[in-house]
Amino acid sequence: MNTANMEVTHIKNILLVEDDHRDVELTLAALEEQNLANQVFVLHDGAQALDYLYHRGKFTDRSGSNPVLILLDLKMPKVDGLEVLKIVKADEQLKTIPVVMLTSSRETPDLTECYKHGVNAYVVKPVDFSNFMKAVSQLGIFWAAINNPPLPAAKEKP
Amino acid sequence: MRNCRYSRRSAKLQENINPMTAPPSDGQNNSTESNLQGHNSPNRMHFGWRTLKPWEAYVFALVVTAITLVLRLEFDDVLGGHPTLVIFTIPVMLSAYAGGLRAGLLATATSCLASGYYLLPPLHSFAVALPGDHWLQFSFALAGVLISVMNEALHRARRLADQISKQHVQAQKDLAKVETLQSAIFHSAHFWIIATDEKGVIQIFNPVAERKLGYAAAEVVNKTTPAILHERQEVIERAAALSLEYGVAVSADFEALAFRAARGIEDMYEVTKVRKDVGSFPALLSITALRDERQSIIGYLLIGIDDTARKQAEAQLQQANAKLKAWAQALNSFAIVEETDPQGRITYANDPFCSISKYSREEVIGRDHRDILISRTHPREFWKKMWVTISHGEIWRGEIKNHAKDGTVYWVDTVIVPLLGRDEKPETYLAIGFAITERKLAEEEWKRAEKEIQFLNTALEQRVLERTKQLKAANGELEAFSYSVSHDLRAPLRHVSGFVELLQREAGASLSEKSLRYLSTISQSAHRMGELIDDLLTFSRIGKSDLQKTEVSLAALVQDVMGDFQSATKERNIIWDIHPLPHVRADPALMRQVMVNLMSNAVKFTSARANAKIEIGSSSSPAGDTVIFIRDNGAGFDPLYAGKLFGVFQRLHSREEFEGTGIGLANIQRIIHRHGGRVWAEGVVDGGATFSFSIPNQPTET
Repeated sequence: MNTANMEVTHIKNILLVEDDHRDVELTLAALEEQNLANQVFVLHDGAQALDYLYHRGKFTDRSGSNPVLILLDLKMPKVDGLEVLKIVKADEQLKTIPVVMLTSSRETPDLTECYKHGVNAYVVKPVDFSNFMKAVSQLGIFWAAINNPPLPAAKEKP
Repeated sequence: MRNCRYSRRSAKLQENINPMTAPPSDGQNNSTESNLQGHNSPNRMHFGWRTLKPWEAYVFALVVTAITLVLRLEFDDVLGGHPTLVIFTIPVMLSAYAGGLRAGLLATATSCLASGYYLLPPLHSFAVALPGDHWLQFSFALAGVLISVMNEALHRARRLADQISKQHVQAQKDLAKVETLQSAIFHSAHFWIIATDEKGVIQIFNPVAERKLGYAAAEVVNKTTPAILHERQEVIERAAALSLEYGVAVSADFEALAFRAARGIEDMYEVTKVRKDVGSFPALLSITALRDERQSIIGYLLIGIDDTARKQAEAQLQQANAKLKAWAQALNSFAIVEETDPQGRITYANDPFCSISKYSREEVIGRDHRDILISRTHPREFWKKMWVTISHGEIWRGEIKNHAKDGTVYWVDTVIVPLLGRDEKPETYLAIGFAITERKLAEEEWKRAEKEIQFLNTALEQRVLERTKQLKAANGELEAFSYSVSHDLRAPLRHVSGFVELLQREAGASLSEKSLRYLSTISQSAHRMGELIDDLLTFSRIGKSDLQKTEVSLAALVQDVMGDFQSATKERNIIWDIHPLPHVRADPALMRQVMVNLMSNAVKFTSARANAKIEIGSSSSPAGDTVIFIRDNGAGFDPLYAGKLFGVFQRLHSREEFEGTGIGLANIQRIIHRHGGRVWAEGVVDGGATFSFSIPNQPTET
């Protein structure tokens, strides 16, 4: 159990897909507060994210397991967050990975669409930085819940 | 008594007169005929045996003479040779009596010859020897001739008597016939007959007169004149009129009645007859003078008939006529009336007809209606149908378009009634109509307008389709715009806000107070910009989303919203006065937004009050809509600007006074309008405000 934990912590096991560098910086700043920043692997569009998850393109030789959490921006060039979500949640291998949508939009259709495709959480990026911090800290808790506690699969092992 | 006599005789005379009028095939009539013969037969017997025919008389003369001769010769011995020629006067007399002159002469001649041959010497010779015998024979012949002549006279007298008797019988028959006719007239069921003598005294008063006038014959016959049967006043007036006409004095009695008749003028007049018992009745009377062969007046004959029925009929007719006249007058006052002959030529036209057609009566009488008035707008079938209908004696109704003299068009709703003659064929067509030009023109106008509307509608539909398309496109663009606003506009703000925050953390300690205040202002502005964007997005969302209407309990909703304010207002002293609230049919989420907005406004604008009071209640609008109001005792507003309250970003207070984006009330108005309701506000500066909105009970989608 411990060994497994050690292994996980060694690799960057949070995937942040965000096209806006400033948002990336802010998000990382917020995650830093939770001491999680160094675990985040950042990608800038949906296509890269899919390549990463499927070990394609420049990630063909990527080693290691899948991330334990995906933070996904909704609006991105090439392949947007919703498409990535659809593919991840439709994939037997990937669908257990929690996906949190990080988005500027409060538009209901987006939200509905995301939940329809099995999103695990939906965070509207607030304009207010303190609120943003709060939201990200929630994510930290979320992450912690996934990272530390017994996963249903892990529970069955002993 | 006279009456009785007539009655008794009438039966017999009636019988006698019948054969003249009825065919004799009837058994009773046959017996009547034999009765007539029987009645006359005693007259014939009275004249003895019939006169012999001449040859019978001659044979009779010879036979009688021969018998006498034989008897003389038989008694020759008794007579002792005396010639006794006198015995031959017997056959002569018998023959003359039976056969007249010639038979008598034949018997005389034969007797002379026989006496000369058988009785006078020389016997068996016609010669006569003795001078005394010559004389005897001559005197015998003379006597025979005389007897014959005398008997001939008797014969003639008898024939004359016979002839006279026959004429008498015929006269009696004729008399009976006349009497029968007279009796029939006398007993007429309808006419009363009064005959007077030349002075006017009644002589005959028939049964009809008795029945109709109420007098018995015995009361008036030989006692009075018919003047008593007349209205006195009428007789006086008649006498006066006659005096005036003829210039002579006429007395107001029977003379007045008979005046004209006495002058040979047939006089027939209407009078009021007076009954003996009660009342009077109208009568028609004819009076004629009766004259003898020398033309002198021997009496007067008055024949009368009860005129009541005719008068009544006349009165009824007059009444009916008056009624008809009134109808016609009424009809003429407002209907267009026209009569035509069976060929359609106008025979009558009333005033309304003339005034609407603008033709004078003289111009239309005798003309064909169709030629002068009717426009060509009606199809041939229209007229054909009309003529078929009315020429079959049936009433036709229709709307006819006519042309007046000046060319203007007028419409008449017309009923044509065929008036049938004795042959059951239309004799006259009566057309009664009402002007409906205005209605018709309105109808035409309406039809035209309808077409135009149809055309406009089609164009409008086309335009609506186009606009809808454009609107959809615009909406799409707007959606894309607001989406883009929500994402792209917020991102830079977030960055401003985020990096200012990071800067504060990073360099906060080394910055001056002023620099920190600047950073704080930047941060606040970004925050406010974010709020504005959020509210704008909400506002645009309200317009887009569909209403999900259900029954919403306002009471529960208000309690729920109050709960939300609990933490924010626990420092304040607010009295909530919530009245019972109804259910409304609305979108619950949007209705919640409305209540949140209004209630938070109330909370916000009473923040300066030590004792804030917020009252929420409901009422009903005159149209039956539910009205909800939220009243506070807060800052209120200047009613002058009440209209601006509901505009987007319209504020009546500075941000320093009360925070807010100025879009809340605009949202409320948009939501309430989408529910088909209305929102309004009343208030005074520092006097509190009341916000009200209505929700229809019969919801209309907008």
